[in-house]
Amino acid sequence: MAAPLSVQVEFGGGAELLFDGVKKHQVTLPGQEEPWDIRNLLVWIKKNLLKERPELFIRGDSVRPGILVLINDADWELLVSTSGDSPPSTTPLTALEAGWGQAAPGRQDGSPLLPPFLLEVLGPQCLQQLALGK
Amino acid sequence: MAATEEVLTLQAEVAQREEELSSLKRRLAAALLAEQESERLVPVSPLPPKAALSRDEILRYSRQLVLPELGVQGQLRLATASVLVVGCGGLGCPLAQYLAAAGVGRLGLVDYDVVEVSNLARQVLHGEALAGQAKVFSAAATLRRLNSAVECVPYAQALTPPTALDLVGRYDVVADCSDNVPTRYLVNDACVLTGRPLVSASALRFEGQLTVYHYGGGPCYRCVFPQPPPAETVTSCADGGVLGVVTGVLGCLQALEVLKIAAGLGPSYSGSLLLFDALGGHFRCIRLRRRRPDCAACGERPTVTDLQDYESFCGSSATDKCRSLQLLKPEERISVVDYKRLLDSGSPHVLLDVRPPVEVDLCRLPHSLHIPLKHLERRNAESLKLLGEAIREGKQGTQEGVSLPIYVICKLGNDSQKAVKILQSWTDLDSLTVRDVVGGLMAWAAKIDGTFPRY
Repeated sequence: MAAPLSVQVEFGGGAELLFDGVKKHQVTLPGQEEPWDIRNLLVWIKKNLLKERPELFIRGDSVRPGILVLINDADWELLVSTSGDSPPSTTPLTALEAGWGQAAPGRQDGSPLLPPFLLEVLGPQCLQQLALGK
Repeated sequence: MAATEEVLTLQAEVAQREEELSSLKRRLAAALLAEQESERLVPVSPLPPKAALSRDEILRYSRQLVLPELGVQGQLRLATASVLVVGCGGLGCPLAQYLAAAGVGRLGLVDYDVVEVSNLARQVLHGEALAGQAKVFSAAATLRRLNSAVECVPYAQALTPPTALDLVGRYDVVADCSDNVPTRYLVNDACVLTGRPLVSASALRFEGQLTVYHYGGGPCYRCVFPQPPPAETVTSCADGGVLGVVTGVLGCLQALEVLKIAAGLGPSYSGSLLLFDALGGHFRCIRLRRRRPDCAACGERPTVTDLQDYESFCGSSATDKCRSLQLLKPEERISVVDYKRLLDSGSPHVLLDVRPPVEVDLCRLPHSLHIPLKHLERRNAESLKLLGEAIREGKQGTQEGVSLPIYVICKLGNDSQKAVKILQSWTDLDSLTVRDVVGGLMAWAAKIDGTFPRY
């Protein structure tokens, strides 16, 4: 049984427009059988925070192309699991650590992600733009 | 009497000079156009190495020369460096301005677009007098006034797959200052295929982002965004709005990264992304993923071995110009000319303006009812009440049994079609005919009322 978890969720780069324009959300995830991981956190956000057009947020069981997800300042693709073979998206948040690699001098591999968790969802305005007029 | 005569003489002379002036302007415009044709892909030779700075150069660049990190060697590298600027808009203008001021050897300027009045609030190299001229010529002229030693090469054309590799390969560093997704993929792939570092930035509303791709083993654009976003999810500056200072800040940061690469200092944002929130006043840096071994462009077994058709890859066009939706049948739409006729005839109807409030504050037709599209989408109770009242009021002027038409209008005629679809889906409105006004208020401004504001 996973205890309730407090997470700060932020939207930017246009993703906030799917959430009534609100960028910062302080949420408490309820206690549940399964531990909280990125995948079920995204589903919870879709059910509880998303205001419109879910197809612009989620495709399959991940975010749709063009959206960047960050946890505690790191691209989620940098995260690695410390609990065996499970992929980072289905690893409990507390069992993730940042595999910074050589790209980040001064930061070492294996620094675990610690609460408070900050999850950020950046929309496709991140370095991309295009037009559909009004 | 003498005074009157003098006035008449002067008036005649002024008229004659004005005639001469407009003739000169016509010749200038023709000459600029001819230049545009002849400057298609001018061949550029490599910049010769430079051994020493002249006395004038030492004075001119003295404030940056005394920085030990830059010094004479750094300045000499700048003087022999060439930078390709893709897009001479809100980012490209401040970027090119600072690169020219700092003494970069050659600037290639790429843009297919012409200067419009609505560009001037952020595209600071262009002036009022050059509205209608190609942006690259306007930018090059301003840059030459700023620093005549910098060689500016204008390319008044879009960057396209047939020319991109050749063009990108002639420059040392590339700055992506473009405004659309297909161009971002095109520039990225061209940089990966020719081995050029790419400094990329974007700005929209009050937010901006900056990163460096394909430098020193770091990720490329495709590593971070392997798939293009659905076309309908991306917003242009024309739609979303942008503050000129925000593009200015990002363009300057982009220039800084280009300068550091060109001077041999190395960039700060390879593999990381700078996020700027102008409204909250925050700068943040986040770690991006590393280069993906399976990346289609820069991976170990790349599938992108030549440039492709990026517009079809992204499902969108390589401009930030607006597309026209076709959601309705012709009989469900009315032209501005026909609507004007109907309005003049005094025929009872409701005109529904579905733009966001901030745009209605700019301009509106005085007899319109304003309900934002968003409220219609959510069946906002207050808005439904307003619409109901307007319909009841309108019906008082019609005969029993005759339906009251509703005409929906927006800025360009896309949102109005969506609104018609929504209203048609409401069964309680089935005694009404709903149409939208083709081309919206901008068509009204162009064809009916020249004094109506455009934006």
